[in-house]
Amino acid sequence: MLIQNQPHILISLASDIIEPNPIRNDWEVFQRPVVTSDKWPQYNYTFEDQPKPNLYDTYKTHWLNGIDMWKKYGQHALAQNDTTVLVNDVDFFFSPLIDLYHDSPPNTVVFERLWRCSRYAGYSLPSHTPHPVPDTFVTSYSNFMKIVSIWKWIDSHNNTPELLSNDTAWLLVLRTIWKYNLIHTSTRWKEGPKV
Amino acid sequence: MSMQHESIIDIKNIAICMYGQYRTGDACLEYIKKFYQAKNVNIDFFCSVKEYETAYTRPEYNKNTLGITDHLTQRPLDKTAIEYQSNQIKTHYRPKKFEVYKTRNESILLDMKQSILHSKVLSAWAESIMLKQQYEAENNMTYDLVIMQRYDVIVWPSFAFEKVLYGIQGLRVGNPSTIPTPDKNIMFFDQIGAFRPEQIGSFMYPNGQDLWVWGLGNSLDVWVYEALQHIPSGLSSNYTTKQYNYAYPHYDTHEMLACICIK
Repeated sequence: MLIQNQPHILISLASDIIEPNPIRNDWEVFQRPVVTSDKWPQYNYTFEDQPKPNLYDTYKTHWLNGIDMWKKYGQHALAQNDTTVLVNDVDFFFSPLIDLYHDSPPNTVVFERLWRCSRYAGYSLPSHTPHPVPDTFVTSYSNFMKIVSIWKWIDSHNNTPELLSNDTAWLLVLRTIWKYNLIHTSTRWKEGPKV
Repeated sequence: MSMQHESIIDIKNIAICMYGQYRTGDACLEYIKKFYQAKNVNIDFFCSVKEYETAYTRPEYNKNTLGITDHLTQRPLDKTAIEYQSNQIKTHYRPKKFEVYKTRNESILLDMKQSILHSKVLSAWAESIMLKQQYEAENNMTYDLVIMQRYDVIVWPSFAFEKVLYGIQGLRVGNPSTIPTPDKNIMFFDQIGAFRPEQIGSFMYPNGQDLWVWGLGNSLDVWVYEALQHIPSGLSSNYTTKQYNYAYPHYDTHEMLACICIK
């Protein structure tokens, strides 16, 4: 099995809570408040009955953090999966995700919450249809930017509301993972809400 | 998929991302400026230029005028030349963002020497597209269409840009009779080889000198993110001539582009 060489770790936080962050001193934090667009309410979602920021806004915020990473480090530090990005809204204990990421093949995205969805049981057993709550994950800079730039894809070309109103946050992420042929797994693969 | 469920291509903002070595840029700039004049759209340039030249695309010229026979060798430009080229670019293209791509950035990369013709090109592409993304982030806007080309490339006929642009405006994405993609991201490119002797007689349409890449939506952004996995870093490299499963075989720049696009 290929073991990834990960000498560089950056953290992207999309949080309205701006204060000195307690995350480990040697992991640089890129943090900014969640942008507010009032667009695409169908990408609102909740976790454990708590409303979360709109996925479009959250990902746009992470994308802005990603651009800041590029401006500071450039392609020579960010290329070749040599930089790992830890993604969440606020401070988080990332170690289990990092451990799994380091034991995974290159280009893997490790979500914190990802499970088989009984609602789509017809597809879940043979295809392991994932049901990600996609706001907490660990992956390379390259894959991080692929995922969070979804917000720009959403905005492209006068999208008809009919299409996107039928969309959901996790369907959007699922489609993106498949579209870009990303390997994905989770630290909580077997857990999930009853839907 | 019914019509009401499809997105419509609606291009308002266009980014022209220029990359690579300036070379014969002086001879091309007036044509390029005129080529990209189009009505009812906003067109901005983003320019990254290298501080050296490898003129393998014009071996006879190099041999006769410069006495250079090793066409893959980098010829560093002196300060005067870099300032001149930078000034030409800024004056004529008025780029929203401009940078000189530094050789020192390449010197720290593993395997860059072996993959000189390919990884360095890839680096220049990434640099140019990321200039555009930085501008988008700073100004809270996005470009609907992104085009990538070099300073020494001209495309013809002279109305090709407008013809294609106005041809795709208003098309319903996903209509198989127009553009065969279910996605809103569309990317197409032309490997232009009519003037390379070994490529005369190929199937390619003879309409320019090298590479012309179009990307709608965020397709070129994503393409750069993918390309990053094929650019050597200071710590590791995927360069290989033999391994196909994950590492990238660097044979030809155009083939490399096609390979990344397929992923």
